[in-house]
Amino acid sequence: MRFRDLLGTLASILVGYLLLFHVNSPWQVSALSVGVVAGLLSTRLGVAVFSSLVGSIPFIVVLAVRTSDPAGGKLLGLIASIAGLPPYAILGLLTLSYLGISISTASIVSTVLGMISSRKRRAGSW
Amino acid sequence: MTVSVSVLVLAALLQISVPLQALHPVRGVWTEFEAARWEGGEVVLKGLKGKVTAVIDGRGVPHVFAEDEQDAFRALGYLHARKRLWQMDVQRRLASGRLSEILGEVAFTNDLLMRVIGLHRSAKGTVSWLERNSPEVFGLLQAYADGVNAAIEEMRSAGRLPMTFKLLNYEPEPWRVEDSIVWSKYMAWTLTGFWYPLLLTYLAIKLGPEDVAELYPVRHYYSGNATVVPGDGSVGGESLPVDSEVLMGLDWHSKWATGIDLSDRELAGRLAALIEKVAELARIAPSDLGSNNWVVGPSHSATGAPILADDPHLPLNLPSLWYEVHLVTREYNVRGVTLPGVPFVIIGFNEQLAWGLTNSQIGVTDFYLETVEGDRYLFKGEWRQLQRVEEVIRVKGQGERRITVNLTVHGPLFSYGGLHVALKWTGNSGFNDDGSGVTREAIAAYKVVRAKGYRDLLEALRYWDVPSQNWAFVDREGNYGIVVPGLFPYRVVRLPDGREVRVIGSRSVLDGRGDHEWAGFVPYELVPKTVNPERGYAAAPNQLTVGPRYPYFILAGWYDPGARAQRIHWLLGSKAVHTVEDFARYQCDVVLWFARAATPRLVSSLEKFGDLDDRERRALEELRNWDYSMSKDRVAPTVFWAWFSALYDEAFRRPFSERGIKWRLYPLESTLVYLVNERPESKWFGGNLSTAARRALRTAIDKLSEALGPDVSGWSWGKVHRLRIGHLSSLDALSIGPLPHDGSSGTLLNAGFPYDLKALRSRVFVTSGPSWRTIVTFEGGKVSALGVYPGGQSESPLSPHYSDSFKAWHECKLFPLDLPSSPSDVGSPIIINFRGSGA
Repeated sequence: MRFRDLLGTLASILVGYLLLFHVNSPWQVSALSVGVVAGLLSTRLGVAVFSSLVGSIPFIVVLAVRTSDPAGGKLLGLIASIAGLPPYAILGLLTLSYLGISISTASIVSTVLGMISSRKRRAGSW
Repeated sequence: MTVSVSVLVLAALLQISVPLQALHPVRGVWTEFEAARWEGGEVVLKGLKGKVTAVIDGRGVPHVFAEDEQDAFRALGYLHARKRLWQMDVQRRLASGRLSEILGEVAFTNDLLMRVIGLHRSAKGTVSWLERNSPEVFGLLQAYADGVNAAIEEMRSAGRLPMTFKLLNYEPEPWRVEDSIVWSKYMAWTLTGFWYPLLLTYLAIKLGPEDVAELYPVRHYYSGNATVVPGDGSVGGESLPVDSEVLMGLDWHSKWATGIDLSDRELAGRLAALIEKVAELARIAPSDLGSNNWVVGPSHSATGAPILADDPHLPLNLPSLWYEVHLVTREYNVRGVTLPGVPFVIIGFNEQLAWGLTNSQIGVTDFYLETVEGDRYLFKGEWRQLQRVEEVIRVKGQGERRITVNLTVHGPLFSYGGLHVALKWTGNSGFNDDGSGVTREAIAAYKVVRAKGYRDLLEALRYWDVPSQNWAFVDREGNYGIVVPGLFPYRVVRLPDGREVRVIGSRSVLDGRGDHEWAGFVPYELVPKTVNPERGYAAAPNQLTVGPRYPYFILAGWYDPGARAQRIHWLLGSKAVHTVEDFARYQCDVVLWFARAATPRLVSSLEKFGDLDDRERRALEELRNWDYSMSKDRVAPTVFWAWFSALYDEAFRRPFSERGIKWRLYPLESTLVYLVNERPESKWFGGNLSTAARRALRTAIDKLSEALGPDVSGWSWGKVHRLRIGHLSSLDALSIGPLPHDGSSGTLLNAGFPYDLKALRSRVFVTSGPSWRTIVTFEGGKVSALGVYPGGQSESPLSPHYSDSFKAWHECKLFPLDLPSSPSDVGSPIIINFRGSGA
């Protein structure tokens, strides 16, 4: 892994953490930001996806902590019954949404960056 | 290709995840359990003048100790908001017509109605008057609002607003004094904003005045022997100048009484159409709300000390309507229940006095048919300009809707088909009857908590304007009684024989051109009251207030049909002395007086029929062996209810439908019982009660078999009569029930339930009942009290105090309510120390 890739992975996890804990914004903003940072700082698509997965760890960990508490479990049960879904479906939907947003954002950014740089390379060789 | 797929996936995920926004793992609904667990610690409150300590007891009840009264109110505001903020926000929105902003289209009709009625306008008038004329009361209300706002800010900045805000994706606005007043106005409106003059006009148009007089009499059948105030009603040397029987026999829908000629079929048809529209907007439905209270004096108490019982019957919701509190200041030591959003103890006691409220049911709402042309209306011979108020209703997801409310001297207009009816209600007209909406209950409540005995109470209640209530009281000196304060507007009515009578309320829409105006309010010295009555007790479960010679003829008294009054009078008269335990038993008594009065006659009316099948014979056998208790495990209540419901349909469905009555406006139970017992040959029974009762029994048994199976022994009342205490959001997951439940609308254990067989196949539940039960006595000169309500102190479903009192309430148990005078006497380790920001 190149230094830039390592930086991207670390920056992703930092951004994920900061936007969840220290900025009053929807969690979707955190997921998007993780994806953007992962996409911007990674050299390849695969690494960008990996970084966005790592950047999602703060979200997944804090969600797991929340719901493993008996009161959190009760609350999850309440939310699930309000939504008419089983609790694991709510958790699954939430986790997949976060992961999906961060990964697809990272993919978009990484691919677009890749396209731009390859055009630049082509332009340079012309 | 990869980019376009990813963009599509991302767009879809962002869309899907919008409803999951509230599940933010740090600031989302998960903070609810932190908020729910919060009970004590240090709290900084700006503006505190001295030390304030709140000790939270095992049921989550705060005992607030403060030297300064404003400090106590500031702390109470903080505590209300910490435990009930979402409820407070929803309530103020409901009352001021702003629910659509958070709930969308579903709440628009309510908002439209509330904007027309205009409680928010009256609240504004009241606040501005209080600020000028009662700075001490205004100061307390402001201190309370400051406390609420401190809690809002604290929760908001920590990302710990109640989960319901997060689920609905909005944040509360700052609390204003007006918000407290508008909620108390709303409570007053629900207790006195009776639509009956409109409904009786409608019925008079559809049925004719004779039928209305028989089915909806001025005084309910069987009501005269159990009035709130004993005696003939004369007061202060004054009495009614005309025999009340004569007055009750008059046609109060006639032109001489209303100025409107309902025999003009064209006008009557248009008026009926307007009333149907208003009923649709206001969702007018027969109400099962009521309340019980009663007191016995030393001579009828086993301990020689007076005893008070009170249980107001109101819609039962979670979070509960009430919030228990104990406040100790330099001036008083008071405990009782408050309405979250309003800082005063409404029902409670201090070391010298206890008080409990029921609704007086005396009509304080009139409707005026206005003569309108363009933007003017005719009043007392002159054309006046309509007052126009622009209201903007914001509907979530749909933008703003602007409406114009037109007002006359009487109040806001409901218009349809070229007719215009104005609503005049004491809560909007105000204590000066100037349309300002200024009422002074806050002053009364401020004075009540510091009353040292019943004389102080009577003085305080001089300011109690609306809703008029039966205030039962006992004091440490052994005094007991009931006083009925309120603004009672009267009109001077010239009878057909030329005599004049002062009349409270109306049974019909009145001509608005100026000849049927309120002449004043009953002077406070003449409002109904009974202090230390000779019979040794007094009771006010919403029945007829006074005897026939009361100087003001109460034409509009929308009293309870009287089964609870008959029963409590019987119970209180059945023993020489009573105990607190007796009172607790009476509060949960489920004997239905109407069943006792009607069942023998109904059963005997079927004796001549030899074609009864096994189920019918078995059902009748249940009724013959019944003690008239509406117990959830008995079969007889189910049979009685179904039979009575079917008899209602037998008597009224066809004639009401043929005459174009669009909704179920059947008479009260007392009327049907009267017809069964006194008019078995009535036209409503097709001239023969036996035949009608036979058909009704067959229908009832068939419907019960359909719903509950053919085995009669399985028809227990609890299978039909089920209690559901719904969350304010209507979410089932946050609600209690449905559960089998004792009682009925007419039992002392009030459990509102309609006589309608449709309840067998639809989700019809008991949703109202005793919202707070309390018993207080002054044995040995020391106050001793009990109380319970069906819910808990916290609105958080994760809190142990969300619904922890429900089980005790459902089992008719009561909690002791102590009155400790210092924090250490409370005996709880959970302490909140409030300190000022500069300390």
